[in-house]
Amino acid sequence: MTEATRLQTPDDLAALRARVVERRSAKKVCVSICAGTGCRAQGSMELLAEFGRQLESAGLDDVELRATGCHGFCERGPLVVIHPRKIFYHSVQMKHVADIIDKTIQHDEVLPALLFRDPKTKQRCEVEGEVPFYAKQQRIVFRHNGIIDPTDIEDYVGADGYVALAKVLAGMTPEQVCDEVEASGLRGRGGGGFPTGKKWQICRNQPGETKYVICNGDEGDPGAFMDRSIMEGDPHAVLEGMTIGAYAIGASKGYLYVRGEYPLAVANLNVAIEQAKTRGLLGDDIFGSGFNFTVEIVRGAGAFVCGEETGLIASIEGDIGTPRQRPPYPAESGLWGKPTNINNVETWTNVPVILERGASWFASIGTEGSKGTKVFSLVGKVNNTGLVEVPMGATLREIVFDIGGGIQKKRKFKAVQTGGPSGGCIPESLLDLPVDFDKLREVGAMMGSGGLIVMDERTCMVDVAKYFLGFLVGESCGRCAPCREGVFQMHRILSRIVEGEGREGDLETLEKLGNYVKASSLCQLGGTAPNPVLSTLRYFRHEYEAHIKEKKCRAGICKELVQFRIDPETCTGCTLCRRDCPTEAITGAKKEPHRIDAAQCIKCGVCYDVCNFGAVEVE
Amino acid sequence: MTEKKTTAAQRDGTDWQPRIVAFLCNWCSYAGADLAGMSRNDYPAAIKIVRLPCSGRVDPMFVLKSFERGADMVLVSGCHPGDCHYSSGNYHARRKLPAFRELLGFMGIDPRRFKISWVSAAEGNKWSSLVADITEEAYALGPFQEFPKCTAPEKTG
Amino acid sequence: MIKLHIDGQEAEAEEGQTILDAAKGLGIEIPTLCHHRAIPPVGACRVCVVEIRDGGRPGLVPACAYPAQEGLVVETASEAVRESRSMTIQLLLARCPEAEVLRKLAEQWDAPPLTLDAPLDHVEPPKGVPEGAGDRDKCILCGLCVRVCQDIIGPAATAFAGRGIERKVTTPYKLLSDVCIGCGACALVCPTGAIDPAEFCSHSIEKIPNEFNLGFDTRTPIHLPFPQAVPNKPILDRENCIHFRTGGCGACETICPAGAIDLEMEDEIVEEEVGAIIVATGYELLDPSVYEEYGYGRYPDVVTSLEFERLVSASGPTNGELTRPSNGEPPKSIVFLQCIGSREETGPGKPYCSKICCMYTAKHAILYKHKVHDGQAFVFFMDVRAGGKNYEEFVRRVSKEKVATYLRGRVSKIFPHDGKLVVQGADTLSGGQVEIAADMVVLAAAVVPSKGATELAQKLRISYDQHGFLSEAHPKLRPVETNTAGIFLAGACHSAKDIPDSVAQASAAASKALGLVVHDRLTREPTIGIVNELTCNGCFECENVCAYGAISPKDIKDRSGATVAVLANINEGLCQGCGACMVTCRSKSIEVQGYTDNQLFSEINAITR
Repeated sequence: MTEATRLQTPDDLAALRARVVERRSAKKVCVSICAGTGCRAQGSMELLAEFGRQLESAGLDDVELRATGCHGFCERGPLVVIHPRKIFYHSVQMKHVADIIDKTIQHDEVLPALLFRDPKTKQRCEVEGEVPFYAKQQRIVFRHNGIIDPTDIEDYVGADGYVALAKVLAGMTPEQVCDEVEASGLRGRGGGGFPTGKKWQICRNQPGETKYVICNGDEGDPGAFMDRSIMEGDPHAVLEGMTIGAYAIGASKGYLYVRGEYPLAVANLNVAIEQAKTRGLLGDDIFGSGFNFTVEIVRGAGAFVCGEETGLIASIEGDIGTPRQRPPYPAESGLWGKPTNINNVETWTNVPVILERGASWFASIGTEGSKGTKVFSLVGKVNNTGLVEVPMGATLREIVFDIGGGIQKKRKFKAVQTGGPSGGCIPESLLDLPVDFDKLREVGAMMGSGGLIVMDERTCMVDVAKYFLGFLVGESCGRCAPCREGVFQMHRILSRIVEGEGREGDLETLEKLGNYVKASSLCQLGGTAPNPVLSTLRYFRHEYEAHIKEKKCRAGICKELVQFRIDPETCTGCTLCRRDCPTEAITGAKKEPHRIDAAQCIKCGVCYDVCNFGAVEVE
Repeated sequence: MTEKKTTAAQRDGTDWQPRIVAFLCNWCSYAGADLAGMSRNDYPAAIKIVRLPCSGRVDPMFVLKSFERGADMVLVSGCHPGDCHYSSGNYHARRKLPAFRELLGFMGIDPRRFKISWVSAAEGNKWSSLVADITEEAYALGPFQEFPKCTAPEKTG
Repeated sequence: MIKLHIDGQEAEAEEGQTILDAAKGLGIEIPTLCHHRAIPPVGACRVCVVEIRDGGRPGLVPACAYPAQEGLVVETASEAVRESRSMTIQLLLARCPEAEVLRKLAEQWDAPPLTLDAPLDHVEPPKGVPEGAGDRDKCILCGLCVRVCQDIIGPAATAFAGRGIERKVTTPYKLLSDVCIGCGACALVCPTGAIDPAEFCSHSIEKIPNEFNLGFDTRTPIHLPFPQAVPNKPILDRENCIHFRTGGCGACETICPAGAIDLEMEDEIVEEEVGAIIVATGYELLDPSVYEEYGYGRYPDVVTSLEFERLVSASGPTNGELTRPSNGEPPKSIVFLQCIGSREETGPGKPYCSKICCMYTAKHAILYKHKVHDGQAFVFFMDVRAGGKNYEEFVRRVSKEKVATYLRGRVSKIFPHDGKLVVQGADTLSGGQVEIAADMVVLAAAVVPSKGATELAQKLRISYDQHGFLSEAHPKLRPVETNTAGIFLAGACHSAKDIPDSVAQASAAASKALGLVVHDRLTREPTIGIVNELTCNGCFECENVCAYGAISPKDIKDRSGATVAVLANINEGLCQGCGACMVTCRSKSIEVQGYTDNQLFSEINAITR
């Protein structure tokens, strides 16, 4: 490692990059292990240590070991890539380490058992790009994730990091930067979809010396973790984006508001900030331009509502994170009453690459109204879960079936829920919808921060709506009456319906309350909270009606409305359900049809889920 | 009470009545005496009142002149200290007159013949009993005869 | 000036004003709950929503928090607004069915009760507060109490805890607050009456006894001194005001819409030059607790006649309902004791007759019968002194019509027994002892001058008697003047007096005062000092003794204007003619006119002849 000298000019940066690239020659053997939170949970750090030990004892000192950020394919962690051939191993365990060193590293042999096998073609994929999960993705935001070591600024520089910042500070005026971003068509990735360049321009035009930029890293949507992955895996990209934004707006102080539950993101960001300071990429007189910028990390305390701009500002100021009435907008009067620009992690990460490669390049990706790519966290009942980055305009079908590999257990697709808890549910009929900001809004859903939850036939839409509303009842700040009282009352009605107490008129009340909460709430949490109910009512009204009128839950979820039964014709008497039943409600001899004792059945549905023959039925 | 004492004096068998000169301030003691009269209080007629604006107006010469003219007793009465109509006149009297009394012996006058008292406008009863008391005392002291010669020239003048 | 349209009318607003302000200017009423003019708006309750049609992002916005902007087109009662408002009221009403303000709004805005689920408690009591205290179920979480405490008053004693439906107004850590200053601003701004600072304040909030009602009820530091006060304006009592005690609060200043309160104001000494002074300091009652046997101060149902007067007054602490102070029940039997401390030659009382007690006791007996029809009244008296026009007839009526039973005699002892007060006394007419079990005993205590009357008299240099009643200049001929020119007396400061006498004397005093001040020139006493400049040698001893500062040096000049001597000079207007200077002057150069030495010596000569 070279001594950490301050980079005075863009030339210094280019020189450093040249040195890094030379040292990391493409032919060198390198074991790159994913150290994202998902893979860590599956033991990647122990794996890293084991590799270190065994490489040392084998005397392979020249093999580089690298801990990278998240690859996105968390389902199959821990992920290991062996350079220079970039052999992609998934689900690597401690027992495999010796084999990998012995065969792959020393003898250049591929271990087929650790390669990904495409369930459709039955082919083994040697490199990441061949895996269908990645094949359809276009990685712009995730350009460095899984490739560089997030704790080493030289890795980032080697991957063309800070080139955009150098370019901006050396030769662009703040207006030009704003114009460039506006021309790129970048829209806020936090959910609102407001044109980023325009937002900067508004803030820039506000009077006042002191302005702030804030990075919203309070990723609160259940199941969404793309911002975490970026902050963990490519922290410098976030910092570079913020620095460029601050220059464009005229701010010299930035805040990174990171969710409290993201300790690794905070750790990596702290390392990145220290390194950037040492290199003179944060602080006073960056690249000799006279522009000063510092960043401070603020850890959130875990409130969903703090993802709302004004709530987040209140939280940074030390108040209870409660949104306030807008106007005035943060661009006019934000943090400490000063003009403030807030963008989320993904938006900031897009900025350097736009400035580096040009607005027209970025604008060539995506659809008419939505440019670039969008990262989705694909979760639910799909085979391949993980982070997915696709160009705007990719269809849901592509994401769910091509990338996600279809529904688990070959069940039937029912719906996909987008946009986090206050998003909407999109039915099968709209699977070919090209996904962008405007199309999603048209169908009553929203982009949100990019959650995609796939649901199969074993999902009750009323229950889903109730689940999301339950989340929102708990996360509503409680300041304004419509959100606090209205969502609560809607949740109560839904709870009644799933308990079989639904009444005539409930759906009308739900719709009335939903529209009211949407129109009258103080902030967008309330403004979008009824979406799960309204969109399911729109596309799955028959399910609600079945719950209320027939008192039936066809998905077999709502316990009060469900009766499980074993079809004696289909049952093979494999005893699997009998063994898994928690209340011993299932009886039957081996190889003979089993039956369920309704008195003891608690309707947990385990039998239904485990039966390999579809013999368990829902009444 | 007063009546009883007067009778006692008369029982002595002489016609002699003490002559008492009283210098009263206009606002308190004189008004007190007035109240006594209005309340139909009896008190000895031996007392002769000179009304002054204030007890502070009392010049020691007035006292000496009275004795010189044959008064058997002299009384100065003013407002209670603190209640002076003129703020502080009776304070002057309170300092000046006791000092003066100390000098009376030097003049050959029994200091007991000089009385100072404070009677307010509301104290009619106090006034009548005060007069009764000092009249009784004047009887007890007898006629003042130390300055007999002095009186003659003045009488003519 | 910002121009906008509200309900089709053109409205004007200033920079910084809201749609609500602009609508108010047009007389358009928009309901509010979480808004208070003194507190920055937050737009939490959403009752005030209005619809923006044009000139801004269309949709519903809270009028209280949305700035008036040029060109806005606003509807305050469109269908969308009505629907939203009605729903908000219904939802809040579902939570707080008892809140009157919501019920009223529901009527006004057509919000039928929704069949929604049960309300929740929202103001969580701190630990140690008994369950069920206060009206917590009326809290609509508008946050006014929290905001007023934090933004206006400062201590931030209350705060929101919990999120969403769990949100509650409480104290930090739900502990009794030791930063609460007990100002009560939270209760003042609360639209539903849900909050009571006494519930969460760790120290007891002192209740200030209402002086006018003799401590039977309490008042706030800002209060009307008494009903129908002139001027009928509240006064601020600095001793009890939290602002002056702690430096905090100041809510009144912020909240007063007229801006009439200025806490920076200091007491000041106002000097007025007047031509006459009327002293009317009134009276009070002798404290009857000196008579142990009557138990005043120990038994709450033994009251003075003035306290009884407040208890039966329509503007009194019970709004005219006569109740026993001990238990709030109407007294079924009552005993009036006259001459408590009056006509007493020895002991702690007064030798004089208080004059008014006979008559007011008779009146009290009648008032008592008005309030308690089936009650029994007894009066212990020494003599009934009813000298006055129609007085005797009045008293006779009371005793003849059996309004009260008159017993001639004194009471020896009062003691509590079985919830009643046993009054033991003598009835000298029948010659026996009587014992009455009474619910209430009223003591007609002696009339004494007000506290401080004698200090005032000393300042004014007017005389007073041994009881502290101020003295008139002449009991018959000058009954309203004092001995000091220009100072007059009116009412009970002079002697125990009833209302007709007080009015008569006051009228007389007023006439006398007017008689003084209507003249262009003041008639002074002729008896003032004059300096004999021929003998004065300018020692200025006289200047030292003059209580009025009437003596000052005067330059005596010759024809050329050169000063030849500095002599004493007396200001005729200031000199009161006391003669102190005259006695002090060694050269006998000052004479008080009318009291010259020559005159006095002549007088002495005459009386010693």
